[in-house]
Amino acid sequence: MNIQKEILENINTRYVLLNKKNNVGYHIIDKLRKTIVMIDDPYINVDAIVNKMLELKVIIYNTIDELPNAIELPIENKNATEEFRIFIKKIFGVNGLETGSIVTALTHKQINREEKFKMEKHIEHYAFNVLYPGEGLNLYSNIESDTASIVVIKGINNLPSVDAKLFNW
Amino acid sequence: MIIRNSSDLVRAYFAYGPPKVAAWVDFLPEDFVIRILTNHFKIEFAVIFTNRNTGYHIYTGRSSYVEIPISNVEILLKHSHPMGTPHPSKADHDWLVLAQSIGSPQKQSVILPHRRERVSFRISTPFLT
Repeated sequence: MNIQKEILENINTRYVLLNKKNNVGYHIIDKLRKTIVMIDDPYINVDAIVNKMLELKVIIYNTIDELPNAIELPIENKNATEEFRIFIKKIFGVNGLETGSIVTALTHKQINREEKFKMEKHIEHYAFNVLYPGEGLNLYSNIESDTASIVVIKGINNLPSVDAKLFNW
Repeated sequence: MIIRNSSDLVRAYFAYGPPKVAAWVDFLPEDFVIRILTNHFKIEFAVIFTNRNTGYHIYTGRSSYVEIPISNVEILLKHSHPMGTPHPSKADHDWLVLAQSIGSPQKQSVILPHRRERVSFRISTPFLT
């Protein structure tokens, strides 16, 4: 997702504005991480994004002290990263092309809903960055609360579809 | 996996992908490590040193931006520009101004543009608007 879309879709839930010193403009802030968004792409018109945010009634903070504490924090002082094993089953379409994968975490004990959610976040991140980098993906979580598993489908709009009707009993 | 040096770091990133927010390492990642990661993932990375803490954070960005914590103890040592822009952006400049305005001792920082020489910048450096 590009940054413009991401910011405009997450106004106030994640992205807010901070008044610059002497009120000469605004910094775009990710309030969940308490970070400043440094847009380095010269093709992106940051002023236009800020204007659009103002139009959409974004929350404006005047000082840094007013910003809430960060919720999403980096992993602190760990030498060993936590690992868990996963297995990946590839899914192929009728034309033999890979359409996605089922990624499931292997756990030695039963996991609860919270652990499942955390593991699935890792799997989601892995799918976007390692399995299918730079591709638009649709992710479906396993409905079982003790199974951390995600179905990753890429290029969902290109898949063949069949229309059907469902009766609302 | 234990990350003890730059090659472990690159291996971990290649195997698991970059972390969502940032990774912590107890050694300073060299320029070429950040360049390798930027080149591979086509996204920005920023190396931050926190005063009074040991180690370094490598913040994970996206293709056009990276998020840097707002605090007077965070020192932005370097960050990459995957597009290869050899100048600070307005946001880079603004970050330095903001950091100094809240008491950060940071005077300058470094940009690692893709396939170009490293560039250091200060508040007075001309930036792209």
